[in-house]
Amino acid sequence: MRSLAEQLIAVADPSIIIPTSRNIAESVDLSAEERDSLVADAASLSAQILALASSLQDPDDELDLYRSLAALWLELRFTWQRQNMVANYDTIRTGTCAPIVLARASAASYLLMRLESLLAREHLDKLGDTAVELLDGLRTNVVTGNLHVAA
Amino acid sequence: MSFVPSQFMSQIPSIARSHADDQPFGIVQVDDTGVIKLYNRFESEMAGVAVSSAEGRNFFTQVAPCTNNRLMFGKFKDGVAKGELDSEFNYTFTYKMKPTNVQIRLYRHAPSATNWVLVGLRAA
Repeated sequence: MRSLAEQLIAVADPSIIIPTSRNIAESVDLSAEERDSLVADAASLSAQILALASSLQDPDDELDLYRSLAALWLELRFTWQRQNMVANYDTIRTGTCAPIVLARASAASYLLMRLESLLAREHLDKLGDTAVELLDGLRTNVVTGNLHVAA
Repeated sequence: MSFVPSQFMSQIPSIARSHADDQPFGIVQVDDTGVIKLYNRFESEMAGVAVSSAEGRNFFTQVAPCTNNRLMFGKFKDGVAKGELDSEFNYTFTYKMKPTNVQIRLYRHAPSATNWVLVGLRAA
């Protein structure tokens, strides 16, 4: 059976991630610069994930690698969520939104989906629920005046 | 004019699963908290989420987290609280899919106290 690090190397394979990201970029109306920027971001993230797998490749590191994957899942989830907010608030406000925002959101969620193959279903549910509860709790605090913007 | 035929709307809440699966738009019936009771074939194929893994989970927070904001879930909760909801607007799905422009209709059928999220594709 392959180690978690070996599986992560397969998940972050740039020969899969880069063409798929290009495909996402080409699914919306982007300039050549925006397309290249989106693909470069995906390639960079792929390289960072490969570096993570390389650094934590010892069998004794597997628990920390799994934790790092969970943290990365949350990072991507929040990145996607922010782009999704911009896209839909702009859609409601102006009737449209910048295609690059849509492409970034899709690219983040694509990588999120690839990572999910390495995380247990119960852990994914817990991470998703925790992400929602964390922010919903903040929203309640804002409503009740318990959250103050730092000066 | 709505993307949902008025004939279909008149059949709510008595929509059989087979009838829902025949429709060319997404049909999601949820309870007052957002838990999915019915998830039709179109929605399943568009979102890439199996019916069996969608039904019983919360639509807004678990299955379609892109809808967990004031624009969608907030509007839904307000409508449920008021007992009155019929709103149609443009939206965009990006979660685990290519950017997909859609129209959403949030509807509460007051006599049966059932809630419906209807999703139609729209051109960019």
